[in-house]
Amino acid sequence: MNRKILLVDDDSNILAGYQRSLRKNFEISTASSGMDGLLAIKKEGPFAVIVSDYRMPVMDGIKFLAKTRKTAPDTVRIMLTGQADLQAAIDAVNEGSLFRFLLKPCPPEDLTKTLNAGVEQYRLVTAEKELLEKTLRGSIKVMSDILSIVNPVAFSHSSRVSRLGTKIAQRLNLDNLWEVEIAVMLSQIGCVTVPSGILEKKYHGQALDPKEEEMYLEHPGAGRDLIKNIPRLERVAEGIAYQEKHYDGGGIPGDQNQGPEIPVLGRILKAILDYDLLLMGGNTEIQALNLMKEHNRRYDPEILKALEEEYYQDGAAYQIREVRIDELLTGMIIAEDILSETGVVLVSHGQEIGETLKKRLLNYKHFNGIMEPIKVLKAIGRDSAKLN
Amino acid sequence: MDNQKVIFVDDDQNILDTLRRNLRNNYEIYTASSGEEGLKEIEENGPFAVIVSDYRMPGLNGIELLAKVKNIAPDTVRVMLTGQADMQAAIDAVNYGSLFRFLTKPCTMEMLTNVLNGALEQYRLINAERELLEKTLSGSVKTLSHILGLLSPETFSYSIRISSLSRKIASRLGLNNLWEVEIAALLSQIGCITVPKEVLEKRYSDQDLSDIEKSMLNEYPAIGKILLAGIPRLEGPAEAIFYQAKNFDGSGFPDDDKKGTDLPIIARILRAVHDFDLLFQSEGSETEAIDKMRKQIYKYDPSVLNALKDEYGLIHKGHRQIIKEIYDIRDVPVGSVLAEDILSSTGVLLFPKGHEITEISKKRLSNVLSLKFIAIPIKVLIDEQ
Repeated sequence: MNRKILLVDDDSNILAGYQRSLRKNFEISTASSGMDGLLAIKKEGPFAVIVSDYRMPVMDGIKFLAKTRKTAPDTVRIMLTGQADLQAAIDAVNEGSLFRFLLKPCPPEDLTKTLNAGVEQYRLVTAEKELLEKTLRGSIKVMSDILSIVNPVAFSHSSRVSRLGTKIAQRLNLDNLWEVEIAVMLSQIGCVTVPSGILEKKYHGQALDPKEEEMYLEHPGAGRDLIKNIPRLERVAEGIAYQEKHYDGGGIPGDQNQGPEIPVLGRILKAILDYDLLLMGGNTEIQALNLMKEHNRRYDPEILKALEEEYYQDGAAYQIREVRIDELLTGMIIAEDILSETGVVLVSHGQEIGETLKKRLLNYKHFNGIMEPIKVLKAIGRDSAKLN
Repeated sequence: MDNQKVIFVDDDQNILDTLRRNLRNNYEIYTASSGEEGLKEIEENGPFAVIVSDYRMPGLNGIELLAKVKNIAPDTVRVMLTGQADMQAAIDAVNYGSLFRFLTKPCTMEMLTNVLNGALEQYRLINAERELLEKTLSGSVKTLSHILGLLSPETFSYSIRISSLSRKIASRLGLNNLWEVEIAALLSQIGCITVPKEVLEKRYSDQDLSDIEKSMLNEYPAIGKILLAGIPRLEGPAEAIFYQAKNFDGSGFPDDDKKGTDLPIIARILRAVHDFDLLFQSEGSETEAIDKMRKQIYKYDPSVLNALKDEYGLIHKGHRQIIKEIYDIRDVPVGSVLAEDILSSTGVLLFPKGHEITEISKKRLSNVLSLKFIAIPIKVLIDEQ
């Protein structure tokens, strides 16, 4: 937990005194003016709490703390003030720019108590972000990785494009990146209602009969239904429902929404999932982008542009290698499906090797044969020729 | 919709009327004319997001009232209105943590609105964490567990079955963070992803395992922990998963010195619930399952075993289930439990015995049925009327 405190006061004796009495419980930094304080935030931040004196030459406590709101919005602000400035401090608290103020002289026990409350407040303010961006995202990632191992035919699709989704969202300057990543990871969960025979046909690019097609196209709606009641995932659920919707209003669901009325998460999913299918179908990136441009009525032009820019910037180059199972390394990408000796797809191409997957393959090989060698892509550095 | 309920407590009716008139368009306003009345209102119409109390009132004063509110409704954000003379008391109350904010009279509507908005945001923050852990995180993990259970029933249907029982046992034992227990149970089997299907099947049908198979199986708790490493807030569940197969006397895996109450409580719950589920599936009766566990008491925490016994006594009193044969999938009731495995025509396990029918599994079942031949009737357990 972050227990970093920044103390700002123009009186160096006061700073030294507080530092002595507080350093056992907190990580203390000090600054002797508002300017120095701002510098310290830049160099040593983020701080959980900033404590500033009110009366200081050049920049007073209120001005200094107002500036820290921009550079360190989550940091909790506390002011030390004399009786004469009491009303200014009370107003600042009630306007929401200060968490607390303390009257001088302030005994160290009182300061400690208030700092503990400040650290707790910082935890509260940052907990939400941490829970959404790390705990929730991390848990869903672990489970969707397992899904893609258990059933590569249905779920490797989403794990392959999750990084791409985030990059596109960054280019579009979207705020809640965690939503994009989770929407991608959960995009295929509705496929659990689709019989595996249909998913396999789809995966191998075979045509579906009308009845099968109908079942398959129900998966975005089924995916939405699975998560629509989870608080905070309402927008993710909507995005998943619109993953097969075309920008011009065609596709699934068959409602009137078109263009920017379609949730942006849905528009992103449509573009990156199609892109991935085209790559899986044997096209190069350039060919895939060109095919998408030919059908540009289906895609948001902004997103198509972001996808293209991403391709030109991502200059990583790969080399195809043939390896045995025990030679697999974390980070290698499978270039051709890994098959059991009986022809079952164990890992689909495009999947990245992690420790768990490698272990599973080693254990599997012990019981059943695996077709070896395995073709993998290994990164050989950026900006050289691209291989496919 | 977020809770926007604000209660004002003041002995001056004119002030209450003015506040109500000015604020009712933006907040849900309640009023009370004394501390005692305020407490009653909280009991009847709570929870409130914010309470604003006057300081000087006959009977309970503002500080006394808000101290009581801190006990009965700890999440409600507390604000006090005070005159200049009582300011020092208010400042102290803020700094000692019993007040969020105080306002000095007279105060402008603008200032009051500022403070109310700050207080509502504070209430949202306090509850956001709980909602995220209890609903968003648990809900997501549960949904994905259901999907894993459908795709790979021999490995993952088990974790769904034990999650609600584990939570109930934890609640009987007085544990606080029930979401941790639920998540630990749901994620307990993820390490099995490295164990070949053949080995897992042998384990469930109680066949002998070779040494190499045993060592593969013994690794799954450790792999589960590795998979969760680095996810903040899941340190507790990860540790419980690591020790889920360890016996109370210290034997079993992982092979270290921990034993007894040094083992995480959630791990001790998982250990007992795991065997209970396995024995219940094979014996068909809760009593026999618990009797068998008592014969190997060294494996389990006695308090967990007692809680299990109490739980069983409670849910099954006067409650019997019968097997019903169903010929049309549309008639399978959501919430009923499969009495037999459902296999595909090629003998692949589609749904295991013990699977609880959900909307989504019903949909998958009906899609599969419409394409492939599956033996009907389907046999399910339902509560006897």
